[in-house]
This record gives sequence, structure tokens and C-alpha cells, in this order.
Amino acid sequence: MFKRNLFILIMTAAAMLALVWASGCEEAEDPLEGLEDEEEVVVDENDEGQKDPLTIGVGRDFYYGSEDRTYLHGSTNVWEGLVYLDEDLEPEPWLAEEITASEDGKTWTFRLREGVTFHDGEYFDAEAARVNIVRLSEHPQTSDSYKYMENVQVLDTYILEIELNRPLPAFPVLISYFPGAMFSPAVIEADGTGLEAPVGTGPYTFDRYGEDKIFLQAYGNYWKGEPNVGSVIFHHIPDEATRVSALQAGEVDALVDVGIILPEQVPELENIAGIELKTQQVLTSIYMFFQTESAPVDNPEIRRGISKLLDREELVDSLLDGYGEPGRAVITPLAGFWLDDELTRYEYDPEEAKRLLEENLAEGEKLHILVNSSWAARWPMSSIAQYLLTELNKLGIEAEIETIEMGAYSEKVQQGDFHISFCPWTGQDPDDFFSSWIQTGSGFNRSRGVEFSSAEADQLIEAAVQEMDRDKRRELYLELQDLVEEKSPLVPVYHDLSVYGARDYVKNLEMDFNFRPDLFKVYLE
Amino acid sequence: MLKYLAKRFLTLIPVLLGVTFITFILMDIAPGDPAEIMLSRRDIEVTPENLERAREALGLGEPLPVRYLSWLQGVIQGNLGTSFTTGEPVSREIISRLPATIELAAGGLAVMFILALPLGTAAALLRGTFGDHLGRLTALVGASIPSFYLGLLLITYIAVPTQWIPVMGRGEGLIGLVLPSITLGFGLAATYARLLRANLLEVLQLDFIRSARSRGLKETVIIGNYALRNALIPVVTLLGITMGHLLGGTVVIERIFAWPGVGRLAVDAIFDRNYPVIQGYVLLMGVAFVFLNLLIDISYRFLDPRVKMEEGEGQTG
Repeated sequence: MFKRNLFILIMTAAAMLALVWASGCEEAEDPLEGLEDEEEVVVDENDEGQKDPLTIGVGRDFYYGSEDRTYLHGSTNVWEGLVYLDEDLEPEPWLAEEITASEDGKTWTFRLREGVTFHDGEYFDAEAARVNIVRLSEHPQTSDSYKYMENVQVLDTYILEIELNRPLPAFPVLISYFPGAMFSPAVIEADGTGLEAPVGTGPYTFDRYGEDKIFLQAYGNYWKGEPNVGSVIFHHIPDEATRVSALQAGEVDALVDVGIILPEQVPELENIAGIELKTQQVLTSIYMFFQTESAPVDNPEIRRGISKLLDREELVDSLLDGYGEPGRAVITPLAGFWLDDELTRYEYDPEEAKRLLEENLAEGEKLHILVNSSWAARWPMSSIAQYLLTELNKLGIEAEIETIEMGAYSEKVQQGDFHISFCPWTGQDPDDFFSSWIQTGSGFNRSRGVEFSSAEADQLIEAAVQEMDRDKRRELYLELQDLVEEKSPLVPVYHDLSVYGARDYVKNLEMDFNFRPDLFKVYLE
Repeated sequence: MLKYLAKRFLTLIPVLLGVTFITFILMDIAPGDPAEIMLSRRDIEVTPENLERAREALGLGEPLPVRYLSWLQGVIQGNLGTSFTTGEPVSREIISRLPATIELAAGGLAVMFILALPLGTAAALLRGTFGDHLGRLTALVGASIPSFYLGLLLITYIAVPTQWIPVMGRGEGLIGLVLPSITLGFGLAATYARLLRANLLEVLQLDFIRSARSRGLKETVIIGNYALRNALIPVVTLLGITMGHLLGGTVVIERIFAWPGVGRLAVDAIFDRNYPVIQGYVLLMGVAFVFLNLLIDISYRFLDPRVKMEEGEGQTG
């Protein structure tokens, strides 16, 4: 009897395993598995030229789906835009070769690159660009960049003209990267703004998506030439420790994205032969912001006082192991032209902080610091909050920290149920910052519950965004930066530096300030 | 038997109606607006107009009972709706991740059986000896070690230095399954080995064992055929619940080993307030639990012939 039962037990277990194995095999018939076999080869470092595909580990899903403005993240190198930005965040031609503005700054002419084809073989020309711009101007994610657009028309096969209803010197910056993404008109939904497939002009074509991986193939007819690496896989690995282990074990060839390697993981990786780490300043900054309508932080003096309590140098050194730049300006320090030389607005000044807080804060007032746990997993916001709490307590000021997840957080900040909170934000042009955070009723100003309003600031923002003279525009933005410091509805804490890395046989893999690697340049040795 | 099965199938209906409706209400009560979260995720400015448009597009404009009924109507027609975040059919999203979850669950259970059966039996037979104490200690460690920690230990000290086994991902063949299965099965084995030991000890005290011994049967026959079979019944009952949980996905393990299972899909959906995916997931879990428990009930017949599958007589443990 026992034998029979044991037999049944074993058979059941075996059947279960077989079932599972079969489900795995089903997948194996998929071309997907074939690729993974090749992926194994990557580990074999002696086998010259056999390292295809290049597997890049990322910490988030780069697949957004058909409803999204670009279907895939720009880092995948599948699509390209009309304009990109150079290192100083000045517009740089991409699919548009030359961009000229009329004197009044209302008419913009784009001379497009010739000889560019989409992955489906269609030519990229002014008509294709027009169709895309109409789509982007209607898409909820990008419509903002085109809100002043009056008309878009094809002047010649490769010449496109966009008319705006007001001067807008930053227009090329506004439509750079994502908001200027070009896809084959054939995949743009006829009735809607979705995409049937991500058919772009980039060096890599989209093959398929599955099991958290995006599979890409080199595009032989790419306008710069054929890419060196035949296929690339973006593998979404959610756990930060696993990502690093995967790089160590050679299961991924590179880790490239914002915040992909945490500062505390650097010492562990630094001394491993065969792994190269690099650092890149990115466009993301971490801000501390206030609910400017509720007492006591409705008083700008108190907000400034709290800001001056933060020793930003110390924070960057101790919490980020130096992988950050102390917050010196509300706009990214990469936008060098728009900043003044000294950048002394947000210096640590405990004496002044003490004076401001003692003079303005009534006794027994308790501050409510809100932390978003989803962000705190990527940036050390809990530690920053804790640091602030300690500094406040030293001055005899009571405060409490509340940590909640994204959904509840969004609701709470919108209801204004907090005094102080922290958030990341990524911006390019100075107008980007002022018109989303400072202008009365603007996007983040409202959705993050800041509710800041200043008629003076509004006027300056309006004037600056239309000012065609660069130097005058700069003056206006400097004035605005002074004003924003004086009122301090939000203050910079630090500017993010991202560490990324690759195995040493991966050459020329550089990530830029937009976290985008230029895969065309990459080769394997 | 057939009548019994039919009856059990009918119980599916109220169970599924119940859990899905409760989930619907809970999602509605939970703070956080899916429309707002979707806008933020996509970098769309959160203006009242955009919110209104997003709510409209997500079908959130209607009152709760209307939404529930229209969802139910979709389900009956085999349509679970589309994901708020990717715009893809929920059924496709869940089904594409289900094989990985089933594979991991089976792997975990296999490891659990391989460890728990011999260890539990040995602990009962060696009761009070050094071996038993050692087993107890191991079980204690196994049950209390957090799986994320065990997983990281295995990755750091086995997978990375030796490079015999993949660190992560669902690679080709079953090799990628090794570490996640051990991580999952180890903790389970601890619990099951202890449960098996306790049951076995209890059974070994019973009269029929004593009479078997007096009949001079071999000890292996007594343990294997008589004692173990009886001791396994409570274990199998617990197994039904465990398997249900495993099919729900093991979020922590899926995260650590970058395992593309349904657990992470569900948790991400909860954070994003991705209602259709949450609903689809809950529906799947409801079906899985009912079915597994049915399977367990049927399996009693093999362990204990006294159990009959007739109307009203199904033993539910």
C-alpha cells in the first residue's frame, strides 16, 4: 500500500514538474528563447565578437504601451526627435538639421535631415514630420509643448514651418527629445493619438517585449550607418541589489539609467576587475517644498529659515557619499547660461536660520513633514527628513514625519495636508521650472499642493518666456531666481549625480544628462 | 462524485461575486485617484480639465454599482478590461505572467517536499535526540529567516562567485528556477516539517499503530503505509492554502530574482490604483483558491478511503 501511495505522490510531483517544464518549453519555441541562448554567450569573454546581444539592466519598465506618447522610453534608441539638447542644454539638431526663427520669434522653420528612413522603410520627410507634430500636439502628454502652435505646414519636401501665436524663444527646447518624437505615419492611429507599434528612425528597431525584457535589433539602414552591436536587450530588474549582482555575474553587460547604481553600492563594485563605473550629472534635482497657504509655513521668512537649516554639503557627503551636487539653484546647474556665477542663494546659515525661526515661529507650533515612500526608495528623502527633524528639534521646534505611499501621498498634498515635503523633478529650460512650479495655478505648483501665488513672479515669467534677446531673458530669469529664493515656496536640496556601469568589453557606452545612452556609438570588444 | 463536483463549482459563483465586489468597494475607499496617478506617471500636468478627461477615459465617471455591473458584464463576455497604465488587455497581461508564477510555485513546492518529508519524518522518529533538536533549530531558522535575506545570501555567496546558476531572470531551461525555488521552499519546508513531525507523533500513539506493531509488521511499513498517510491529511489541507498563496505570486522573491510573475504585476497595480488589473487578479485568485481546495478535497480520497465524495459528505478537513 505504502509503495503505491508513494508512487502516486511521486507521480503527482513529477506530473506537476512536467507541466511546468512544458509551459516553459512552450515559451522555448518562441524565438525569445533562442535569443537568450545567445545571451549566455555574453558571459564568455574570450569568444571575440560573440557578445551579441548587449543586455542592459534598468530599474524601471521602459515599455509604456500604445497609448503612450512614445511607446518606449527614449533610452531604447528606437525613436528620435526633431531636436535634442547639447551639454549646455542648448538645442542641438537631431532629425531637424537646421532650425531658424523669424525675427518676431513666432515662425519657426525646420530644415529636416535628408535620407532618413523609418524602420518600415518609409522616408522621413516634412509631411511625415507634420503628421507627427499634429499627433504630438493632440496627445495629452505632449500637448503642452505645442500650446501656442497656430499652424504647421509643409513648405518643401524637407522643410517644415510651424507658426506660433506668440514669440517663444525656447520653442526648440520645449519640443526637444520626447515631445518631438517622430514615428512612421503608418503606425499612427487614424482616430486618436496612440501608436500601433514603435516604428521610429533610431539605430535600433523594436522586436518584441516579454518577461520584463525589450528586445531590439540593429537597424541596417540607420541614417548614420549600421550600428556595431547587432541586438540589444533592456532587462527590467526591479531590485537594486540584484541588478548589481547581475552585473557582477555577467548576466547583464551594463546598468544604465538614472539612479541605477546607488551611492552605497559603489565601494562594493569599484574594485571588481572587469567592471567600469561612470558618473553623470543628470537633469533631476531633489526639492524641499512647502504648503504656502497653511500656517506657519505661509510665512516666507519661516520657509527661508528652514531652508537655511539644511547643510547641503553635509547632506550630500554623508547621505549620498558625495554622489550629488549640493542644491545651489532652483533650475538645474547644467543650464549654465541661465545661472549667475556665485550661486550663493541657498547657503547653509544656521545663525540666520535660528534668527528667522525664533522671530517668526510661534511657540508650540508643530511642523508636519510628509515623505513619499515610493520616492524614498530611490532617493534618501527619509534621511533628509530625519536630518531636518533633528535640526528643528535642536532649536526646540517640534515636528513629525509621516511616510505614505504614492496614491495616498498625492491625495494628501493636493488637499494641502502637510507643511514640508520633498520631491524629485526633472527640467530643462528655465521656463520649464518657473511655468510649472511658480506661476499661479500652474501644474506642479497645484498638484504638489504648494499653491504659491505671486503677481510679480507671474509677470516676470510671462515677460521672460517671450523675450527674444537672450541676455535680457537671462536677466529676467536671474531676477526670478532672486524672487523665488526670497519667497522660498520650494528650495533645491541637491542635484542628482547618477552612477552607472558596464563590463569592460562594452566600449563607448555613455549615458547623458537625460539618462539616454547613445547606442549607435557602442561597440563590444 | 459528479454531483459533488457540480455543487462545488456552483459555490464558485457567490465566492467570486463576493471577493470582486468587496475589492471594488475597497479600491474605491482607498485614498488616491487613479486618474491623477496616471497623469503624474505620464508627466501630464494635473489640471482639473485633464483629470476630468482622464476619469472619463478610464470609465471612472460612473457611480460604483454601475461600474461594477459593467465590469461584470465584461467578465461574462470574457473581457477583463484594459490596464490603466499600458492600455493592454488585462487578461493578456495576467496570462503572459502566469506561467512564470506557476513554475516558481511548483519549484518552491518541490523543494519543500524534498526537504520537509524526510526531515519531518526523521524528526518524529528521532524524537528527543540531538537530531531532533538540530531539526528544530533548523526549522526555526528556516521559518524566521526573511526570504529577501535568504535570496540575497544565495545570490551573493552562491550565484555570483560560482556563476553556475543565474542570479536572476527566467532564463532558458529550469536552471534559473533553482535559487528562487530554494528561497521559497526553504521557509515552507521548515513549517511543513514541523507540522509533519507533530502529526506523525500523534498518529504513532494511536491504537492501530500499536496493533500493527504487535502483528509484527516491519517498521518501514508501519511508518510509511500507516502512520505517514494519516499524518499527511492535515499537511495536505494546509497545502491547499499555501498553493493558493503561491499562485498569487511571491512578490518579494519575484522582485529579488527579477522573476516575471503575477505578484509584482498585482503590487504595481495596487500602487498605481490600476483597478482593472487588480480586479482581474482578484478574480484569478478566487478561482485558484476554490479549485485548489477542490483538488485537495479530492486528494483526501487517496489518503483516506473513508472520505466519500458524495453529496454533503465531502470532508473539508
